[in-house]
Amino acid sequence: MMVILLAGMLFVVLGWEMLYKAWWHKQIAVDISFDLECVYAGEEVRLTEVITNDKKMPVPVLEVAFQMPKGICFQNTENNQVSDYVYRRDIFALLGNQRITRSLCLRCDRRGIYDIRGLSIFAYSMFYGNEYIKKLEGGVEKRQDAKLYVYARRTNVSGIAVLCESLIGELESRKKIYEDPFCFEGIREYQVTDAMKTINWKASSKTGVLMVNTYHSILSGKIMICLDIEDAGIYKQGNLVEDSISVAASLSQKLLMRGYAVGFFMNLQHENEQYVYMQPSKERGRQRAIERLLAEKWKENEVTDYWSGVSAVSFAPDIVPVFISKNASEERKMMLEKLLGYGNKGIWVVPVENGKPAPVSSSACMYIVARGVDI
Amino acid sequence: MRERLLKIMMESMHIVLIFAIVFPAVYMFGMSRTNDMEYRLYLCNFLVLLPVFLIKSIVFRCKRLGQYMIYCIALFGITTVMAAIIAGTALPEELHTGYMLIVLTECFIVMALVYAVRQNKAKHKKALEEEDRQWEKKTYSLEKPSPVFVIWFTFIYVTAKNFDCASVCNLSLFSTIVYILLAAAYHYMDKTEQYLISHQSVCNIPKRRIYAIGKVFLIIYVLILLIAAIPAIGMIKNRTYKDFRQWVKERGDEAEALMDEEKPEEYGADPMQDVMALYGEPKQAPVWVGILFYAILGSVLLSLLIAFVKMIKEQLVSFRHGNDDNGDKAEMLNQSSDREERIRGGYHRDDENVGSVRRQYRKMIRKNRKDMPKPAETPSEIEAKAGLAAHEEMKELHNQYETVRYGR
Repeated sequence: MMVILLAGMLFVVLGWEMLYKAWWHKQIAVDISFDLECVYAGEEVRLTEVITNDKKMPVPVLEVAFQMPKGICFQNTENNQVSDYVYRRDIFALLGNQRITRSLCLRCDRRGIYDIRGLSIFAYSMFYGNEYIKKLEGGVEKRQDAKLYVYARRTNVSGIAVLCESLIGELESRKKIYEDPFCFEGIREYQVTDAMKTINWKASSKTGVLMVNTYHSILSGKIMICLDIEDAGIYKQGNLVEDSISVAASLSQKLLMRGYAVGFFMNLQHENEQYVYMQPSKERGRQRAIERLLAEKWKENEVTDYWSGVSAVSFAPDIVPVFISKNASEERKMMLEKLLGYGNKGIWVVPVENGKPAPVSSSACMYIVARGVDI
Repeated sequence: MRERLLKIMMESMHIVLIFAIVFPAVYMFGMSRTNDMEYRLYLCNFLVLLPVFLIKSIVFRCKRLGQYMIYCIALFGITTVMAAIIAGTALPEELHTGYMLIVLTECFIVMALVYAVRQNKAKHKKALEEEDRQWEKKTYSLEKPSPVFVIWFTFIYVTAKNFDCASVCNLSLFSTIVYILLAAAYHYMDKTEQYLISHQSVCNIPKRRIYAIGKVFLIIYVLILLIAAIPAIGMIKNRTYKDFRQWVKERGDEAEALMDEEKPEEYGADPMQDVMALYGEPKQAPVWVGILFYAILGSVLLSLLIAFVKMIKEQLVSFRHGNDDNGDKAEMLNQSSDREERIRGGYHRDDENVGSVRRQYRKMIRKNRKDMPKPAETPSEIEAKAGLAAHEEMKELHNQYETVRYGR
């Protein structure tokens, strides 16, 4: 009898372990997503974890682990381990046929592209003797909303924008630009300042939101932003480069909102080209393209020579160039003035360390805007 | 607090189960055995549960050995008095001394063990505070329930089987079952607690949920273990016994003499035999009685099982839906999947209302207008052509219809 008893109980114990090991991960889905596709550096975003147990068997302890690139901070850091990535492990307990949703607050400190990687789930045997691991491939990692774009931090560029506008010859926003009703440019969403007559009803009924027609302006301001991300030399000044990036992003956003055509140049190898070059345009996805480009992380060997690249850019008389570079010197200023040609003017934004004077001074055709940056 | 008391209770039961089988096992070796005396001795030995539980509950409140000794002496005295009362009422006189001795010895062992465990834990805590890595924590075998003690019960069982003692066999079998279930439950609770302690710095950990769902899991596990024990219980009648004493008797005169002394004739002839001779062999119960008995037993067990399952479900009601303490949102899948199906099928909560308003409007217009309204006509134009523009009833229906037709 005792033998039968002990054999029966041993059978139950071993059978339970085997069955739980085989079934615990079945019909368990883990969905991790950000509530926004893109945010600016310094802002907060919510990460939602949805764990679904679609079977009747409960899972008393389920750990969900994933990793993300550094640069994002969780509000509660106890579950994190930080090395080259941020490793996070959260604990859940699920009944059968249950879904648990957890929302976490994240602070985005640095620009970049953040995605969820290395998603795994862990469970334990009945008496926590064995740990079972299951890696989840595909699914979450390929979802669009499992990726977050943290755009460059917004900074105050009002002064630079006003300077641009004054160079173009206008002092106010795009309301002063007269639209040519015969030059149809495109369609965008309705804003409060738009006239009712410009509403495109057909497009509105298709999209479900009010859409208006836009037209090319008679006098369309064009600005070319030339960004230098080179940080050569032994003494690295990463903060100055970051400020340059913030200025470029903020300025392009401000000018596009005011209706100017914005072009972009950057000394970065991109898509088999030595430089990034976008002609001045007011197309709908321009700001997004610039922001996403600036959100990417690049290696040092992908950064090319700024001055030779800028020399190859042609600046038409109706384009106002804005050079953003911390690598300033009088020689380079003279080189740029020569590049602009006779009678044309440009702006050079020079980020410098706080308290230090700008290495170059303004001239008749080159306005220097020095920005103090904390190191 | 409740969890701690439950743990103390389980630790106390573990010690009591191990000690309670001792006296019946010793009695089993004796030459003269009274029927079912082993069961009585076993139950009487459960007196030890009281001092064990109390001493485990108060030991951590005693800061000094002197204080602990005072509590022990007081409990010792109470246990002695209670043991004397129980011995006087339930046991024959020849067993009084043996019973008192065993109970008090068990009390003494437990008190010493509990104090040793307490001192060990205090030293462990101190070593952790001082980060003394060389200090190793001692573990006492009687401290916590462990499946290893099944060997003890198995030993008693095998011995009882070879001493022709059915009662001690049954006691050890049932003790094994109860002990295994107790050890499983304790082990699970202990490991869960250790897991939560090791992750105490983790934020958003759903402690209540882990405990609740873990308990349900454990209950199901224990039930399955209990079901696995049923075949062993059912085969009790088929148990065969050997008598070691008979074997000794066959080996020499001394054993034979012992065996002769062993057979008690105090009761004389069995009086029941005379009664049975008077009335003859008892009649066998009809088959339908047996079937009825098992049917009633089965339905009672089924009802208990259903009530038990309902009780577990009610326990988990708060963990099915709603927000947890840590902010997690829980929902059951059946309801949400039903909702998704309804939405996919184009059904909204207000579909019934929308449909009825449209029907009423259509009915009203058809009553007063012969031709079909054109799709481009507004409700005001439809009503004007039907001659209902100024109708009082129509105004309210008009508003409802406009909400349904143009609203979201």
